[in-house]
Amino acid sequence: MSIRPVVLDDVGETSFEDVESTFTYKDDIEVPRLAPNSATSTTTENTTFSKDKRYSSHTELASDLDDDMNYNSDFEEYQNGTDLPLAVDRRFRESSDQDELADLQEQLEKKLSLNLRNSKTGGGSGTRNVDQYINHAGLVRPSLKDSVRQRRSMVDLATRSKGNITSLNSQQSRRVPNSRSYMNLRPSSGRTLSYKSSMPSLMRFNRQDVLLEDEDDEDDDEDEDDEPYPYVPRVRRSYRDLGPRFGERTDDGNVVQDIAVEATEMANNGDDDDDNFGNDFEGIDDNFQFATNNNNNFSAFDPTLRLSPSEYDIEHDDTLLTPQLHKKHYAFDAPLDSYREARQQRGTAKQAAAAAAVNRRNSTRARARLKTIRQEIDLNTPLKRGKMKYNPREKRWDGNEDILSSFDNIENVDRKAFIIKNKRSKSPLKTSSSTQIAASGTNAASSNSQHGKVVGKMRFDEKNLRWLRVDGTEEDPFHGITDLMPRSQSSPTKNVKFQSQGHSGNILRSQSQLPFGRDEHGNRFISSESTRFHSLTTNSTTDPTYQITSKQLEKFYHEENKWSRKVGGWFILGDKSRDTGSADQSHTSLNDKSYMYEIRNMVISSARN
Amino acid sequence: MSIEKFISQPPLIVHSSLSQLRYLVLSEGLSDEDHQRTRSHVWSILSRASLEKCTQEYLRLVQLGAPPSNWISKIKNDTFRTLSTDEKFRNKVTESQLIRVLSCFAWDVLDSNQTHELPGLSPYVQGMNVLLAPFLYVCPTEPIAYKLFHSLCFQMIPTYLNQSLSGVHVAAKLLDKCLKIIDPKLSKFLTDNLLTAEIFGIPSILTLSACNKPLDQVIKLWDFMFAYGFHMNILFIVAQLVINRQAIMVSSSPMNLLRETPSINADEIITLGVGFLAKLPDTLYTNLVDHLTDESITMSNHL
Repeated sequence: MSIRPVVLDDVGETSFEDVESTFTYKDDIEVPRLAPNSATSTTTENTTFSKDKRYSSHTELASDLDDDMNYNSDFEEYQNGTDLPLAVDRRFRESSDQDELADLQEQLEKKLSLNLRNSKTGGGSGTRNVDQYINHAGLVRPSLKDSVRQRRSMVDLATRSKGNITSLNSQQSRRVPNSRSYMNLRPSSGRTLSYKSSMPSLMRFNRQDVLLEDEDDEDDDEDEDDEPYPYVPRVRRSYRDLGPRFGERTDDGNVVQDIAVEATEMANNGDDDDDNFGNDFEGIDDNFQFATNNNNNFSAFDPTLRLSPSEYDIEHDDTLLTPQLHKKHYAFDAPLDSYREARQQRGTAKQAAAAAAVNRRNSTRARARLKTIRQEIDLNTPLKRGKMKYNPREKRWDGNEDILSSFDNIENVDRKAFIIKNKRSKSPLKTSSSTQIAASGTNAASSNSQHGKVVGKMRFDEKNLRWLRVDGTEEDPFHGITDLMPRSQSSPTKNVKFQSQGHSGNILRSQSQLPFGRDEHGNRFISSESTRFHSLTTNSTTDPTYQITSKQLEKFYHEENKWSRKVGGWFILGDKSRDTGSADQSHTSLNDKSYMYEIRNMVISSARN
Repeated sequence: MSIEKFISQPPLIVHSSLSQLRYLVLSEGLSDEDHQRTRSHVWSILSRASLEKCTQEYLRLVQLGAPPSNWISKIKNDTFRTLSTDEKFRNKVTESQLIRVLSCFAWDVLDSNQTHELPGLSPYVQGMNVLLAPFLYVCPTEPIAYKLFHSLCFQMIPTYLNQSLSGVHVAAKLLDKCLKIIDPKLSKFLTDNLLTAEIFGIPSILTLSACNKPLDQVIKLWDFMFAYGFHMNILFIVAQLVINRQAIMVSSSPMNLLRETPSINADEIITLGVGFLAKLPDTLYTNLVDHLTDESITMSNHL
């Protein structure tokens, strides 16, 4: 249950990502639709050209303008999502002040107009120059810009410090440029998106990993087209709620619209390229609003809302306004809708200025609604579900961390189990300290109990490499069972002799079977040999002579097998082999002593010949 | 090479195939370049010592650790100087290997002495370490060496290793007899100097000439003896004496020459020794054959 909310938090970014990919994807297909425009052919060409140029200019900008970079870094974080909460939070806090926003908008407007004029006067041919100026002007189109820069920013801007984010408002103007240029260069693509299909894709992009992969994005878009839209119903409801609410906020929208108008006019004054640019600019208008809103926590997605009515029924449902998990859905849905609107707007904008006016209205509304959505999502509105609390910064749900603690313990235990170290590192489970270990050297039992690994009721005796009961009441399962002596212990006297002499010569079972009293001799069993054949080592405590390494053993068996394979045919192999001793003896020494005469017979016979 | 191929093919009739193998060993011999494994296999075939479960048996004995203190001390008293002058051997065989295998043998003898009253081998006698040396030198692993060594001691030359070493003393008498028949002049020279086989021949008899150097030549002698019987060792000793007779007879202190025998040439010795066979009477040869395993020979020889 906690997973979903976390993902939802990224929706905002997701929408950006999605937009970009969608653009790329639809670009070629949608170009033909541009034909109605005044500068159709040129437009497309320019578009392509400017595409390439765009990147180069963009690069220059990035290198020249630190502010730009900073801004980019912001967005990068945004895209990556990892540090997003922080950045967004700051941004929103700063921008939450409406007055500040208004001021910012005014500044932007001024800058924009100024720069645009400059570019015109500068006689910048082609959209590229214009784009650059516009970039300087600081038109905001964060989503587009993000999409354009995404790859680059991820690489180059990765090192950008988040501290730069604080100057967001000033940076906004800078980041706009890029986005604007992007819009200019790809006029058709932006508008021609099939928004409906892209909407579902947004849902998909809830997964961050998908977000970060550009290539996958495209694929996803394709896939999404065919998929149903599970979240649509909710979206509708949310829009209903939001619609009336955001209708109030037209202030910012007006400002933006003004800018857009300006841009449009300027575009009209120019040649074909400029016209094209103007068209683009119309489109930008929406995006611009969106960007602004984004910064201010007010989304400019009103187009979405406006579009929807035909497809969605809008109803009021106040319960949905309260932050809840499922509410998040409209947050990312809204951006998509906004773009869908943008497309339609674009078509109209190209045709006439009247369309632009309509767009303004629409954009205004949309922005207001989006703001609210953003607020709900991005403000640190505490989300609670039972005892679970959503942590927007960490993008996770808090409240049941204790559940994981048990896993931590298990993890620790298991890790230790694989490596048995002589000197035990202090594990959280153990309270043993180095001093205790040192002190325990005198008392084997205590030391074992103190720094031995304990699993369940069993404790690992590191000295003897065996497991013992924690309570120490170890029973020797072999107690009372005498060790098997070599072959026969028929004569009791001999037995005594064996055992007395063979104190060092006790037959050792495997070490794990060693009786408890072995502790004092524990050292004897620590050998460099692999544990696999420990049972085959002898017990001669001090004499390593009788310890056979596993490597040796392997060779032993290997050679025996070789013999058996190679010359086994010379012998009668079987279970009776143990008894073949006598048989062989009789065969060779008794019956077959003849072979000892063979040579003599040969010599004598040859001598006769 | 041909021997290696030969032994790798299961024999149709073991008896005849063994004869073929013996003749191959005699005629072609096992080259030094042959993989050591081949030689050990040949030895196991010729001595009819199955290596099946030898590792299991060996490990069981190794688990027993060091044999009782009197035996292990004897073993360790000798092992460190085993063929200490032979570098190739020292490089290949460690003292611990000698100790281990000898300990196993001691345990095995102690064990078998409890069950069977019959052979009554000694858990360890001086010279066993040298007797073991060629096996450890030739065999790829200790269990194989142990098994072949065990087979040799228990089945080939049990009288040499019994409590009284009776077979060795019989062999000394036989050596004197053979020398007297083969080289009466040298025999007389040695007896005149009170040098009987009992005095100079025991090491070579007990160790089956393994005390000679170099070990590679000893191995070739052993190849032949594994094929045609270790009684030939007596004749090989005689052959060595005959080869060195000139030096011995002119030497002011022949005992030193006998003790510090010069490097041997296996082929020369074998050729010479085989040549003596025709000179030996049947009874003597029978005694030679039987004295290795039949303790009753002692009586007859003393007569």
